[in-house]
Amino acid sequence: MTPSTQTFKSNATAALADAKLAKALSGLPSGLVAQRTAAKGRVPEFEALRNAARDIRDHTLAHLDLYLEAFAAKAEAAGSKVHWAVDAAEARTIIARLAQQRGVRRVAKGKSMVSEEIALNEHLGALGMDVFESDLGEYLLQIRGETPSHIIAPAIHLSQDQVEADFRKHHAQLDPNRILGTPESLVAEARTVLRQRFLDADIGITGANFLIAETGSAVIVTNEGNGDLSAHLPKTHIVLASIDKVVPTLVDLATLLRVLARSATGQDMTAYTSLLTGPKAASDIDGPAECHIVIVDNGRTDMLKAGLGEALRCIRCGACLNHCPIYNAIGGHAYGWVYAGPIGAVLSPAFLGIDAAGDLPSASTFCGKCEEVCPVKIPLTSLMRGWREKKLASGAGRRERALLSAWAFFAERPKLYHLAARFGIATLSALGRSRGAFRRLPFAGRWTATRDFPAPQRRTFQQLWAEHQHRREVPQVPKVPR
Amino acid sequence: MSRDTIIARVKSALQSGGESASKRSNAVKARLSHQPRHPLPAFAALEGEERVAQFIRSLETQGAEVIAVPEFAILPVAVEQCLERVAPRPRFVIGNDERLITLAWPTTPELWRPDQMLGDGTAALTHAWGAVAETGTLVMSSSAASPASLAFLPELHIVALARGSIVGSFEEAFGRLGASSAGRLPRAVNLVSSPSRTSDIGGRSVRGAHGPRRLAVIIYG
Repeated sequence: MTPSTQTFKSNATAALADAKLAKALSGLPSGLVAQRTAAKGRVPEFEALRNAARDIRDHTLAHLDLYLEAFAAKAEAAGSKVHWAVDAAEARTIIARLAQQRGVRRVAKGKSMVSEEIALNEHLGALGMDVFESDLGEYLLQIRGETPSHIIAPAIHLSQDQVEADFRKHHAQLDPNRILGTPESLVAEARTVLRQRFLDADIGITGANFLIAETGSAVIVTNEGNGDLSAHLPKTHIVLASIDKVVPTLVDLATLLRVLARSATGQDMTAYTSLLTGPKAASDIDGPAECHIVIVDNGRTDMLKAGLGEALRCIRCGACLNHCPIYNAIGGHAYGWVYAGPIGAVLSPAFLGIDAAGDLPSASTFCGKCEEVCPVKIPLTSLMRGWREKKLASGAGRRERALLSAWAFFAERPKLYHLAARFGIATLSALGRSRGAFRRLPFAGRWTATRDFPAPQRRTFQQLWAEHQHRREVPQVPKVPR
Repeated sequence: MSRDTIIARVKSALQSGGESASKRSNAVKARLSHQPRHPLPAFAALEGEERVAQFIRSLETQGAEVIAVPEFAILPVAVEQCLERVAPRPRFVIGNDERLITLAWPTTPELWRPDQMLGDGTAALTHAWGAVAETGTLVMSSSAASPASLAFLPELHIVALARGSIVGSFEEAFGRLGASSAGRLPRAVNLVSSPSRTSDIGGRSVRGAHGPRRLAVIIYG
């Protein structure tokens, strides 16, 4: 997909003004938050599991070359063919060649974020192949010509009404008077329409959540079963996975599975977790005759080199998105590329460059909730802060630096600072007392355009503190007006 | 070659770690040959009836029906119950599984062939390789007798499961799988924990996205 990270600020402004988006986002990420909390509550050992999951990822990344070689050897011994792609272009070329050599016309796709990274569908489409996304969310996006706005719930920004309208438009062969007023009826229609396309597909392309070095298996985690239909039915199965997906053993997989679904959707396990090892055996009556695994670097070794290895621990659960106040306000599309939310703010500058995506790491309140819920404990705020420092060092953000210098001028002169603060707070407090908040403020119009500015209490913290020290008792906290 | 390029890039990126090549290689060999021990939740370490109860509780919570019968020979009775619950009565297929075929069926099941389309109005019975109690997960191992597709194509998936094949944790299941297949896993090991579902429309969980709408598990023994 073509990145629009460059225009992040205007993307975000537009997203904040989008009422439909606000409605779609109002319940969904917070629902996932509640479900995760409940799932974690059922596992007293959850913290120990997170530590173990982090250690597994760190150990693997520290020996990544060796585990990749071990995986490839096992996968080939099981009869899979392993291909290696340095970048997006090479990955596209490999897959297109495999498809063209087999005279492929129809492709069933399972959900794959790496395929979004390398813009695979566009490429195969341009070569005349009919590619269909089988994950229901991805299918909705495909018929709308949109991109995912969430790692695990790609169509989270769409409402049920929008889906109904799209189905009526795109499934024009069906009875126009049919009733489609419930999620059940919409899911049933998609099931029927897509089932035929699975049966017609010449080739299935899926991602992989994990690659197991011990066995040469690709692991696919889904709830719908679409990844499995893509993998089991067509004659050829192609797995597309990035180098960071490798995990040493099945025992390591067990620990990662224990934190993955619980962090993502609050399920103890997703409906389907499939370990796929090689093509069908001679005695099997179903399964693909050929299995190809395309291992893609596409910038990840550069991240390792640049000290961003911790971000490669990511197992793509989406918890950091669900818990992020910024993501909850602007949704995923504003982030402008494949990965949204805090992990997107860390990954996009690495993939696209700081000039193109340098604004993303600034879109954080640094509340730290993302780190708190990350199943592999990625230090997301430190990584975002690192990007901010790089951006400043590169000479960008002149305005921010001027403002910081002005602040520093006062901060280094405590008396002046207190005087200015006392004056400012008293003024704002006096002006805003009646409503308790400002709808608009001079010089802060962009800030107040999307939220109210709470009117400060009458006195500064220093004043209250001084009184407290004087009286040696807790000052009465003034009641906050609504 | 891109393989060498990628491996060389990883090596060069990791060089700052300072570990010697032989030490790194030994660490990986040791990890791959001696399974590590990670923390195990208490609910993954249950025994006996407690373990079976954990399995049934988890599976039912996720929307599957569970039926228990005392012995394998009366499996057809329980299957009949499952089929009767669906109206109209679904077409019923099984894989080419000798143990299932030779049971005393009231009406002979159809043998499934991979070119046969299965969709709404169909039910399939397969034998589970085993199950994991901690999350109520069935372990389906693909073979000529138990084709992987049968767990995904029908509207109703019925699974026969031996009580004695339920293990406590994923570690146990994976360990036994590795041992029984001499280190080479079957083509597909499908861990099934619920009927197919999606929350992609309106954010509410709906059953029967692409796979079975209903999952029924018959525990025998």
